[in-house]
Formats: sequence, structure tokens, C-alpha cells
Amino acid sequence: MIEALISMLLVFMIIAATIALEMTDLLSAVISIGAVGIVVSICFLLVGAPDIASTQLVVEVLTIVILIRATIRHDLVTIDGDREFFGLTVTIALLLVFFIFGLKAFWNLPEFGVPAISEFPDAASNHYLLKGFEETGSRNILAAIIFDYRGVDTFAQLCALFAGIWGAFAIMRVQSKKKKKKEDLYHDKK
Amino acid sequence: MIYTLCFILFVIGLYGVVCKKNIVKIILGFLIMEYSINLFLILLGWRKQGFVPVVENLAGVENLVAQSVDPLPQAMVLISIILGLGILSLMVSIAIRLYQRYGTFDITEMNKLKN
Amino acid sequence: MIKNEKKQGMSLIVKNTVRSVNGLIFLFGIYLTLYGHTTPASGFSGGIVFACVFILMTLTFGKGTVLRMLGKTTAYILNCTAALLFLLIAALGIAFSGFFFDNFLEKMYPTISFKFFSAGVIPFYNIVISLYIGAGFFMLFIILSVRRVVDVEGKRLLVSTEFFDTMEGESG
Repeated sequence: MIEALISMLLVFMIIAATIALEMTDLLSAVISIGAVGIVVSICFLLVGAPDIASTQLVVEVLTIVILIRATIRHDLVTIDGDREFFGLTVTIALLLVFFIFGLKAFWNLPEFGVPAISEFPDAASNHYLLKGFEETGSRNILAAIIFDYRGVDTFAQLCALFAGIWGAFAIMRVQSKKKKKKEDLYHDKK
Repeated sequence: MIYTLCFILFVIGLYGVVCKKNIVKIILGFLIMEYSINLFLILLGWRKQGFVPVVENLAGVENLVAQSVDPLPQAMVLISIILGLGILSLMVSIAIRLYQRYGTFDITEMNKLKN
Repeated sequence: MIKNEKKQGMSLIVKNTVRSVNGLIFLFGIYLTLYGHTTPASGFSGGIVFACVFILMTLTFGKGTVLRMLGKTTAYILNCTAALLFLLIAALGIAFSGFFFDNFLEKMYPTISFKFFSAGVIPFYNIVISLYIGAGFFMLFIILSVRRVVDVEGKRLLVSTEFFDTMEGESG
């Protein structure tokens, strides 16, 4: 039942992603990406991850707001068409080869609905599930993993996030004095 | 079957990154790849009739091992989603700077030393 | 600087709706943050909800109203302070029991209960991370959307616009 539902949602996501990449209007493309992200959130909700579903939903809204506010203007010239014909053909052929050989990797995976932790009783996740509540006192096992068992991992990822935020700030800075003078001139004219 | 559909979604995102000319389209391709990888990791840990890894009462801890979904990929993906938003804003700021420098979002016209 | 503050932003209906809904969204963010260790929620989603409240107010009332409540400098200081506090709580584990990222409060006062006060230092991590992420993404939104590229005398410059004009009335 859930398999069929998730397959339908995935087919919908594939269609929406293709529309988003092939649309010439940028606003329609960004809204199609929003459709993909919200369907991803529904899939998370179906497979037993409600906290990730809520996070994905809020992040998706923020993504669309940033993309629309920052990159879309009225005076934008629409750019349609791909790169030149020969390069495009070679790239698509290489992508097909990548797809066919990548499919081989999926033969060794466990069946859908049977996770690896049920086959290996001494996996790390089983220890977290069994002892996590006793050792940390946290009912939510996810919080116990993020902040206690794998705290150093969280710390490293937050460092990367810090670098991303301040890197964006440094790139968007208006630094030179000459430009600043012209900016004042612009406001005076206005 | 479901894993294959996830992989098709990944390949579509890769096509957008490699073949498109518009920078905003390339950013959208990155987003599609990110979604497909997150979804694949979560689907790997799903168990049939499994429930959310939250302890309900003291007797339910033993039950949790037999019936809960895998919590480890969920913990990784939760931070990865937030990190994706930071990376998106970094890419958007670089795109705005390139627009200011060259006056277009088309990457084939950016190889000239204009201005 | 800003002369007609009442005229900027969206229409009156949107403003009144946002004014009444705003507090409830903020309360939901606080709930997501504080109950991160007992219910399926976390400081990550709570922080983004905080950022979304301020972004909603920015889009509705204009830039000036929000920057008077939470200035850009305040957001920077909040972001860096939260990052340092996260490191400080993690380093306190070394001082008390010898390991980085150790749950020392839980070891000193073991609480196997389903109450709100449980789980040692995990609620503090949630609060700190929600501050970090909320301030950081609000700052990012202000930076990315306020400045835009305009043509001045044949050259393109990156200037910060004085008027945070509405979505439909924006003109480059």
C-alpha cells in the first residue's frame, strides 16, 4: 500500500522536476521546485519521520522566498535552449551510461521495507534504540543521537553552516569606497 | 523499484547541472539532487508497519527495537537539510555577484573578460 | 529617511492578518524548541520558524519596522554568541566528566522520567541551536533580498534599496 503511494509520489516528483528544468519562465520553474519539495515532505511523513517532514516543509518555504526575492526580476531576458548540439548529445549519452551502470549498485541493497538493522542485531542503531532512553533520558531518540552520541558530527556540520552564512555575507558586501560614493550619488538623483 | 525511481530523480538533477545554461536552472538542479539523496537515505531505513523512534512508556523500549524505523539516517538527514539551505544561499549570492559583473545569467557568455 | 512608512508593504488586509497571526507562529516556534527532547521536534525546525516570523514581517510591513525590532547587528551578535555557547556547553563536558559532548547533567542527576525537565543538557542544546539558526537565516534573508543590482550610468552596481517595495510594484 505505502509502496504504491510512494511510487506514485516519486513519479509526480520526476514530472515536476522535468517541468522545472525545461520551463523557460523562471518563476514557473521555481514554483515547480516548490512542488517537488513539498511532495518530498509528504514522503517523509509517510515513512515515519515527522520531525524531518516539518523541517523540510519550513525549509522549502524559505527556499522559495529566497529564490524569488533574490534572483527573479522583471527585466530579465529569458534564456532558453541548451548548449550546442554535439556536446549535449555526448552529455546525455554519458548520463545514460552512468544510469545503467549505477543501477548495478541497487541490486545489493536490502528489499524495501526491511532495513539493515533488522538483519544485524549489533548495529549501532539498535544500541541507540535500546539504551538511548536509559543513558540520555531523552524520549526522542533523534535528539539523543544528534546531541549526545554523535555530537561531534553535529558540531562539524554547524561549522560548515557557519562558514556558509558568513561566506554569503562576505560575498554580498559592498566594500569599495568608490562604489559607495556613486551609490550616494544615485540616491541623491532619486 | 522505489530506489530506481529515486535514482532517476538524481540523474534528472545531474542533467540540469551539466546541460543547462542558466545559472538559476543549475541551482535548481542542485536542489533536485539534494532532495533525491535525502529521500533515498530515509527510505533505506523504513520498516514495514514501523513507527516513529519516540519512547511512549517504559515498557515500550523493548518493543522499539523490534518495530521502530532506523533513527540514524534521520539524524544525519535532519542536519543535512539545514546545511542545504545554507549552501543554497551561498550559491544565490554568487549568482547575484555574477549578474552584477556580467549583466546576464547565461554562463556561456561569462567567459569573456567584459568590463 | 523613510517618509511614507504606512504606504510601504502590502495591503491593509494582509497587514492586519499578519499582526494577529504573528504571535501564534512565534509561540509554535517556542513549543518546537522547548519540547525537542520529548516530542518529534527539534531546535532546528524551531529556529527556522523564528526566522520565518521575521521574514513574514519583513515582507508585510517593510524593512524599517523589522530592523527596528531586531537590528542587523543584533542578529550578527546573536548568531556568534549562540555558536560560542554551543561550544561552551560541549566543553563543559570536559570539565565535569572528561569527555567532549558529554551529557554531564544527566550523569549527575539521573532522571528517567517523562517530565519536561529531563534529558540533561539536550534542552539547552536545542535552545542554543534555535537561536543560532534563527538569527543566521534572518540575517541571510536581509542580505540577499535587500540589496539588488541596478544600472547607474551604464554600470551595474549593487546597492541596498531604501524602500522595500511590494512584490508587484518592484521595478529592478
